[in-house]
Amino acid sequence: MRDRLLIRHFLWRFLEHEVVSASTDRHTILSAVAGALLAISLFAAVLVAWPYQLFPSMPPGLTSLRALDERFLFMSSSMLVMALAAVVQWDALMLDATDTAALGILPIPRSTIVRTKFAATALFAAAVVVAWNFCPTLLRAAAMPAGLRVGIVESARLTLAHGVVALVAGAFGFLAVLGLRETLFAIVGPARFGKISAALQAVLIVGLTTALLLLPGASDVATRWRADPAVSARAVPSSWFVGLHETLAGSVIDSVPRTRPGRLLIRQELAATSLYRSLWPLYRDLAVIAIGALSLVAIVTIAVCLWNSRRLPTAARVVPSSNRTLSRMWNWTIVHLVARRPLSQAGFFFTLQTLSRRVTHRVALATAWAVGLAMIVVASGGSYAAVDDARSIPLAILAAQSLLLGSVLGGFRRATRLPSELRASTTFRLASPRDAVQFISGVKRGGWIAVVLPALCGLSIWHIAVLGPRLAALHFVVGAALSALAIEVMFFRDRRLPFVLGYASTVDVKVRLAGSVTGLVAVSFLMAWFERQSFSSVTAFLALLGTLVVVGLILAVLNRVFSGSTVIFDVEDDSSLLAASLNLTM
Amino acid sequence: MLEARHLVKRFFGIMAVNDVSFKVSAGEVVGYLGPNGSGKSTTAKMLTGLLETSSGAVVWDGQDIAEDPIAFHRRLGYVPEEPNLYTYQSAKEYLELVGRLRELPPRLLARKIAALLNLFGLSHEADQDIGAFSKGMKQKVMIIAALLHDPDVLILDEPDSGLDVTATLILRHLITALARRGKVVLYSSHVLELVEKTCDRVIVIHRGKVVADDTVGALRDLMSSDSFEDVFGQLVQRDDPVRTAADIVDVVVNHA
Repeated sequence: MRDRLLIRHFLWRFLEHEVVSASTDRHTILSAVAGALLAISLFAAVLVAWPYQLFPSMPPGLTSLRALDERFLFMSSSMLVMALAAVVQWDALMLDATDTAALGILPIPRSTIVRTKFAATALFAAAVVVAWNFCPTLLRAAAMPAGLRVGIVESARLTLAHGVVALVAGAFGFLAVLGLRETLFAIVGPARFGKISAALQAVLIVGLTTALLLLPGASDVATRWRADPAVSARAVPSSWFVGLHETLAGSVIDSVPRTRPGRLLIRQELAATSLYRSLWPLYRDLAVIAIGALSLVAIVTIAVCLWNSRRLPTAARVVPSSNRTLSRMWNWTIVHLVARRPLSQAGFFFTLQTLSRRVTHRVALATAWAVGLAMIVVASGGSYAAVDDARSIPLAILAAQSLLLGSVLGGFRRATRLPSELRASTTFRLASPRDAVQFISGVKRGGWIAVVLPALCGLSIWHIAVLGPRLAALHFVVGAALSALAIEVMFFRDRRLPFVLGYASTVDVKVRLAGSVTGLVAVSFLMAWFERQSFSSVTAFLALLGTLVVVGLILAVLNRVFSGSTVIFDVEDDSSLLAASLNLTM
Repeated sequence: MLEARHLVKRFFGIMAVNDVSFKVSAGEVVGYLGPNGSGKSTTAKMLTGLLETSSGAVVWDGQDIAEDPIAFHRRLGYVPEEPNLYTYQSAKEYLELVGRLRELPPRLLARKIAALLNLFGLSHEADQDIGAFSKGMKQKVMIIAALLHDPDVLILDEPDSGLDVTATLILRHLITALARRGKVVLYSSHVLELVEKTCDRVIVIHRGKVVADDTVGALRDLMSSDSFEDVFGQLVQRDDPVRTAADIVDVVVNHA
């Protein structure tokens, strides 16, 4: 009974996570998250299944190859979604100081608290992996040509194999992240882990989300495997589980008696059957790797989790940075060169602190980075070769900068609309800054340095390799001017204090997202075309750069003239939100 | 002078503050007392302008604060009941944020923060995240934040909550010293001894209404009691605390 209560308590804590829910009812959050997982995976499963209904006479060889691509998609997505679930719940995966404070004083053995926390984490993972894989598993039998003679038992075998392997792949993704976290925690200790944890979480979100977004583009698995099995199969974890699936149930479709396909398909069918069957030894190798890797990750993760749970955790004492000189130099530079007025400094430093230290804001930025990187990969389409002549630069290479900048700036704008800590917003109301424009100007500068500069610098490494130092430098300058202009546009005539109070969106997010992505792609390629033209002469380049700078300056001046200085606390119209945020109890 | 004029606050029809009026002059420390849920914090929030009144007005130097809340906030120092701070900031970063929002000159701000953190015994924890602070340490940060800009009006809503003995003593003398410098101080607390020793005048509120407004001495005379604790008990407590405590013990030790 006590164990059940504790497990339920820990399970609810997963829903109280600030990324998942700010202050919404837990049941609402639970149904929203479960609904989203089921709906997205159902959509993917239907999308995969419907072409078979249009082509019921697809022969077994071609079906097997096509199914290989689909298994790769589903196993990868299961692994990545579970890994992402673990990263999002990064701080809640294991016991923390809050648990110790709440439960440590109760007459409950430490072993019971640890055991129930493990059970809750396992149940959470199980719930997510089942929700994500339920629809694709159920529809597995539908993802086959109707003309293929597969019996009920064999269909059940396919369904079971898909379900089991997808669950195993998901478990691998979740355990890998948990194991990484706990191993680092054990090696560096709680204090140092506290320092690197946030950065690691952000990097993982960027990497995993980018991979997830690029997943639909993955195809021709078999050809890639045969061409380079060491890299494209054995080095890719999702391939291990595809191999495991094929070992368990691959023969079901392959062994269907061949009927004579249409004349046009004979050669393709023979080639497909030959290619598929040539990979049988690889499937078995991959299955062994999958089982070995899962076992290893599970053993290491469980061992390190048990090691870290020897005693209940207490709040780690954060040791202030010892590099005072560097910190003083940084402060001097900002205060004297970047943000000279106190209100602007307040906006600048508050932006940097909030973006780097709040999980919700880090997630918003990391997701934007992932979207930007995925757009670059899709848009560039593999055109990474170095170019000699400015006129022959592929537009995709130049557009990559605008795509990434647009995406991360969108993420930054979104982050500024998320309140950092609602209850602490009284700080701003009491201090009553008299000029919103100055504060927001600090926020914009902070955003440029924290968000735009790393993106520009990161891309410039690639651009130097592809375009050469001179063109890369020119491209960097254009990117800097364009991003400054974009920030001015995004905050034009805005007097609401960023990070302070919540904004109720009045626009359909889906419509806005689709419109934004389309607009961003169009503007990026248009800008890339202008830029490529401008590289033909110094005058043309200066004209482009001058236009961007002048428009940016005009916007900044207009913003100052027309915005007025009054600060808007946007919840003034919503007394219930205000009451909630200020804890206005008697 | 700070003046509350017939303040009324209703939450969904429930009267939280009912026609509360009083004045606090410059150099005066006024204690604001009452049991839990009596409307003290609601009054304090209306006085700061953070909470709109259902009716009535708060007047500062003859002007309704609703006419120019920003001007009033620039002269106000407020320590709220709950120390709601940005927990991911360090104490120093939070105070820098507050000082910059109030547009204090950078050098003066740096000097004040360093000195006040030192005087409140927080200099060694200045760079630690506030999230790791105890309630008393958070309270000290709130008090420093309220004093940074040398306010004319101080509204202190249970500022002693969580403070250790030394810090409480410092707070007591700090309040008196600030009043001597001509500040208007409204001080709400549950520590009756502290209020008795610190305040020139005491306002007692019960169920949203002012039930007493006088000096401690006058109230003692009025209620014919030597102890201010007894006076307070007579004003707001209907139950005998000794009897209630005995009843609680009975419930606690009952295992049947």
